[in-house]
Amino acid sequence: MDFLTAMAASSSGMSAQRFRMNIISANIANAETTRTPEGGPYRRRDVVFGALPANRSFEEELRSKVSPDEPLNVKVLGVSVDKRAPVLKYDPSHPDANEQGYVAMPNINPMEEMVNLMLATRSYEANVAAFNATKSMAIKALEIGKP
Amino acid sequence: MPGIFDRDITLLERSLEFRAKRNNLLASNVANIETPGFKAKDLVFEKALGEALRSQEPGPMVTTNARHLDGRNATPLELVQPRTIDSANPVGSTDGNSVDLEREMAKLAENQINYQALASMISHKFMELRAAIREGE
Repeated sequence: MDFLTAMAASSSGMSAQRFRMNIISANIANAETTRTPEGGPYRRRDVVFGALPANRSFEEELRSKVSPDEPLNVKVLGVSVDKRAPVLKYDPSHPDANEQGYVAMPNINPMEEMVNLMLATRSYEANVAAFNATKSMAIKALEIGKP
Repeated sequence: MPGIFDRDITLLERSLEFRAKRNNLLASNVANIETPGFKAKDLVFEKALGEALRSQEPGPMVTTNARHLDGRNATPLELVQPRTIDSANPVGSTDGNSVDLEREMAKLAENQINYQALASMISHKFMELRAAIREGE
């Protein structure tokens, strides 16, 4: 009985989407942040997903061989920083304003972030549904032979 | 009938095994719904199982000796292997991902219902055997 592979795939999907939600929340929260440790205004971040083999035997791991037929888990490969230029906003009273009175603000579109947040939520829910399907199958399998 | 476990139990057992494997692939498809370049996969086995089920029927040639070949193409039920295929998505997406969420969820549900039906059937088979062993008590 190999239900753990499906459960691992679904939970990898859930954790990847939750990670993405954290990044999107940080983008929304920092929509007006003008100072960051790396200098300049906050830059919007995005996640990069990759498909990796769920479970590999020692031999496959040793030879780094991925069979095309095996179930793949999702993994967050990294967080990319958006290269969009900051938006200049005229606000001479702002402490970070330049000589002309313009402040470099993060280029974050709340609409875009909300759409991504909805996508992440729905993907998360789809993974929960898949997980529940696997769980009910496993429970049914355990009932085999019960009087 | 060889032994007390007949071919029906073997068939149910193999179907359960393939449905569990298919569930793994479908769950992985749903998990990778937003992975660029990911190709949705599916497992097909119904036809192979059907052919294996018919493999005990006599072949097209008449045999008059135990050492004659009757020309049938027999894969025993125990040796049937499922096939992994790329599930086609006519719409597709720009990032090369071919997962269609609605179809995957429908397949998951279908697979789950079939699995539960098979599990009930195999349970029933064992109950029948138990009844026979206990002389119908």
